[in-house]
Amino acid sequence: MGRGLVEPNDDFRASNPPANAPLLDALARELAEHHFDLRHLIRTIMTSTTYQLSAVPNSTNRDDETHFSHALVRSLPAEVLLDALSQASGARVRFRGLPAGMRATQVSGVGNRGEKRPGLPEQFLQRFGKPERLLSCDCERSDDVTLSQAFQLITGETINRAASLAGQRLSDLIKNGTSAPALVDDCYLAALCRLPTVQERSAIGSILRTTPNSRDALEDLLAALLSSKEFLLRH
Amino acid sequence: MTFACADFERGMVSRRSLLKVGALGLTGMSLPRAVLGAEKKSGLKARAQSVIFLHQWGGPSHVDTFDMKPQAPEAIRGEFKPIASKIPGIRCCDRLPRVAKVLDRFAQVRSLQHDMKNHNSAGYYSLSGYAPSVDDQRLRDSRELFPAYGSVVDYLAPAKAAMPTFVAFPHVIRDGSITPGQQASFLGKSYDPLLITQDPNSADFQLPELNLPANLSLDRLENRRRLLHLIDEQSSLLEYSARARGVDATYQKALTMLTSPKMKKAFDLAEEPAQVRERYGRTTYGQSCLLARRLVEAGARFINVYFAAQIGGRKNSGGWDTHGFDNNPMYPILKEYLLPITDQTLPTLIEDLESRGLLDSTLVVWVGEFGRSPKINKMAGRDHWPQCYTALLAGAGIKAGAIYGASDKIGAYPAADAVRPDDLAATMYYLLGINPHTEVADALNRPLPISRGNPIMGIVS
Repeated sequence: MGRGLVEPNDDFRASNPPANAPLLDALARELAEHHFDLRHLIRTIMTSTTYQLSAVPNSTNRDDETHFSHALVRSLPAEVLLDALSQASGARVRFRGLPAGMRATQVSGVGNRGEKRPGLPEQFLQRFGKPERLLSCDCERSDDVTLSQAFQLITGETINRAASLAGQRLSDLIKNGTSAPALVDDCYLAALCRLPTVQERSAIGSILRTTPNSRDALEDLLAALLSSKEFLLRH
Repeated sequence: MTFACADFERGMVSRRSLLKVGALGLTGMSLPRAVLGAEKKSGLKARAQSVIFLHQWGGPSHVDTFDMKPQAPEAIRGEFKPIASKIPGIRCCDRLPRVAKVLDRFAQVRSLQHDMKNHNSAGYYSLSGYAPSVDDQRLRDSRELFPAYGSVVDYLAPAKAAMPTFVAFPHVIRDGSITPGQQASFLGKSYDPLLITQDPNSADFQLPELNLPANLSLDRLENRRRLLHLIDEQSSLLEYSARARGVDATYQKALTMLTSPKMKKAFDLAEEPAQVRERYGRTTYGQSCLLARRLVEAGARFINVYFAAQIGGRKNSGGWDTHGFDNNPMYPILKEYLLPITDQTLPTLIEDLESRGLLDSTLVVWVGEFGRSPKINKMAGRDHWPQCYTALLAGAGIKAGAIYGASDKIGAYPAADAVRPDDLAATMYYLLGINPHTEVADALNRPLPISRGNPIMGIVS
C-alpha cells in the first residue's frame, strides 16, 4: 500500500503511533490465531476492500498519506530498480568480484571489493540511494530525486548498455521474421506490465516504419520505457 | 542585535510575522517546509553573484602566512620573515611575494575563533557555519547536521536554469571518515553539489555525466525525450504525484544542462590558452582554481574548491596539517609545496577574475578549518589551533585592504573583535543577498537559521 501501519516499519514507539491501532491489533490477532501463517495474512490483506480501492487519488483523498485511501507513489529502491532494469531489458549486469547472474538485491555489503573506484553498476546503485552503511539507521537510505540520477538515465552507461543489448536482440528477431508490433507488446509487458495504448502503438509503429535503422529506434524505445515514470516509480 | 547597515535591518523578518502566515492552512503543530521558504525574498541587495570558497584543508598556519609575529621569540615566530605588501604597514610571509603584491585586494579577518580541535568537526564547522555538538573526529555525515553553504544557496537562491548552483571539486575530503558539511543533509539530496572527482589537471578531464555515449546523437536524445513524453502521458502519474513531477523536473533539468553549450564550455579546460593554464600552475589545485573561474563565468553560484583530499603533513602532498609527524618537519613542506602553490594560484585567480571584470561580482574566500599553534612543537611543526586564525576575503562587497580583528602578541588568542565561522557564513550569505537568519526546516521540521552569526560588517564596503 506504500506505507506500513507503523511508519517506518521498525520504529514502534509511543510517539509514533500506528495509522490505525485497532486494525493493527486485529491483524496481529489474525496472524497469531492462524499459527503465524504469513500467506494467510497476505491473502487477508489483499482480498480486503481497502486493497481493492483505486490506486489513483480523487479530489477527496488527494492529500491523505496515512489512511490507505490510495497508493502512495514511491521511488523504487536502488537495488530493485537495477534488477528491474536488467530483467526488463534482458541485459544482466556483472558485479565486481561476484559470480555472474547475481542480482543487485543479493549483493552483500558495501565497498569496492579491492578496486579504487566502484564499477558502473555499483555507481548506479550509489546514485539511486544505496547507502554506505556508515550509520545504523534505515534513514541513511535516501529516496530523494537527484540530478545525478537523471544523468544516469540519460547518459549513464548502465541504461544505455541495457537499451543497446535489448535493441540488438530485438532487431535480430525482427530480421528473422518476428512481427515488430508483437515485439513492441513484449517490451511493454516486460517493462510496464501492460500493453501499449492505441496512441502508443500508432506512434511507435510509424517511427519503426520511417526510421532506416530499426535498431536505433528500438534502442530509443527501450531507453524511454526504462526511464518512464511508470517504470521508475512504485505506484 | 544591531547592525551597522540599515538595509540589512530592513531585510530581517521577525518570527512573529512569519507565524502570522495563517492562510496557508497549517495542519497540526508542524509548519510545512514551504512556509519557511516564504522568507526567500530577503530585500537585501545581492553584491555577489558567485562565491569561490577555497577550503584550505588541514589548517594553514596563520603565524607563518598572514598574521606574522616577528617580535615574538624564535620558538613562536619561526623561520620566515615578513615582507611588505601592497597595503602600507601590512606585511605577509616572504615566501608569498606574489600574494603580497595583490594583498590590497583582500580583507583579512585575523580573529576567527572556535573550539573544534579535530579536522572533521572543525571541517564541518568551516564548511557549514554550524558548530557540531561534539568536537569528535569521528563525526559522521547525517541528517542531523547542517547543510553545506552551497546547498543552502541552492535551496534559497538557485542559479538560473541550465547551470548547477553548487559545484564542489576536485575531491571528497576526508580525515579517516568523510568530512561532514560537503553535502545538503536535511535539505535533501536534490541540493547536493555537482561533485567532480576527476582531476582538472588531467589531459582527459571531462564530466562523465555530460558525455553522450558514442552512438547517441542529440537528435536521438530528442527522440527519446519525445517517446518518454508519450509514455508518461498515458498514465495520470504526473497529475497526482508530486514525486513523479519531481522526477520529471529533474530529468528536464539534466537534459537542459546536457544540451546547454554554456555547461559544456565551462568544463572544457582544453579550450583555455596554454599560458593561462601554466599561470595557474599545472597542479590539481591550480587547475581547479581555473575551473572555478570558468564556472563563475557560466553562472554557478557557490563553488567549493578543496585544496587536497587528505589533510597532509607528510612529505609534499595533501593539505596544510604540518604537525611534524613521522619526521616531516613543517618548514620544508611549507617552503617546497604549500606556500609556492598558494603564491602561484591565489594571485592568479584574483588577477584573472579582475581582468575579466568578474571580481566585483564574485566573492573569493580563502580559509582553513583552523590555524596552527603559535608555539612550534618538538617535531618542528605546529599543531591544530582553532583559538585564533585568519581568513582572507576578496571581491564583491569586500572592503579591500581592511584588516578586521587582531590576535595577541603571539597569535594565540584574539585581542580584539573575535568572530566565529558562523559570522563568516553570515557574511557570505549577506553578500549573496540572502538574509543570514532565514530559517530552514531540519529533518524534524524545526526551524533553524542558516547562520547563527552576524555578518562582519567591518569588512563589507
